[in-house]
Amino acid sequence: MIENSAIMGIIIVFLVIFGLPLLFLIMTYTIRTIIRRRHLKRLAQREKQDIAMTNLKRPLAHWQVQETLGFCSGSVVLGLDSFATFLTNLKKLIGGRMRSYEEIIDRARREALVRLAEEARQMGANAVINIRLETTTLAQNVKGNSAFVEVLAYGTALKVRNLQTGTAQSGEERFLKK
Amino acid sequence: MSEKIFLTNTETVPGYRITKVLGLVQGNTIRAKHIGRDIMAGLKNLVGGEIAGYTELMIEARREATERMIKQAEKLGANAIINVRYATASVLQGAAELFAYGTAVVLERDV
Repeated sequence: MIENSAIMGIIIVFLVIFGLPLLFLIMTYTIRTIIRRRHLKRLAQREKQDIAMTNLKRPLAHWQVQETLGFCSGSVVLGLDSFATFLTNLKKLIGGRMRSYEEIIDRARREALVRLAEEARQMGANAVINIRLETTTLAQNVKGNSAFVEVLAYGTALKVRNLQTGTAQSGEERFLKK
Repeated sequence: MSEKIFLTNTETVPGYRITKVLGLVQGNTIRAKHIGRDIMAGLKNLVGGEIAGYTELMIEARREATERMIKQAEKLGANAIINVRYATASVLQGAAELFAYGTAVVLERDV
């Protein structure tokens, strides 16, 4: 009897010490995966816009600029989740690529570019030139891990006519890649 | 070019020519986070995803910095700011500085 309860006690202690953090990790991992999938799906849809985006300083040679609509921008703040931080802390021991962070920052960049494209579209533009991307880590937690990344994309919106195809559309391959 | 001051981040504006360069103009603002937003953001930090409150805060702050820059340009008598750049720096824990700068010019329509 006494041995049995002692074993039970040990199991309970083990569960509390390792089970709770594990449960927490599993939960955050599940939610994070859902959020990530939804975001990627939405991004893939919203990136299908007919707008030429380039970081060249001048309009392309075969564009006839009809109107310069001016400055437009798009920005987003993404949080780095606890699971990614956990993985990264492990990865720090051996070094190498930090895929989980890479992916989050990449998603933030794509989102910022999509918002830039949407704003330009609303202004009536079909091309954006001189695009600049800027990344900032906003806040740092106690351990010194950066907790939030902000990505800002800005450029100059133009309304152009393609002289090669003669249409009002920019007619370019989408510069926004999937 | 209907607005008072025209903003662009290119060096030239197609169809217009620069008749006068008035020099560098700038505007900045430092924003701190907000406790209420911070709690939500802390929760969001567990699972990741966009923190809409912060995005809004940054957009608002950037508008403020841009407005200050525009005011300076108006004082100089410009009708456009070209080569506009943005910069962000976190100066303290929990506060961010947003900085906008560009060159104030007078533009005239090409004939």
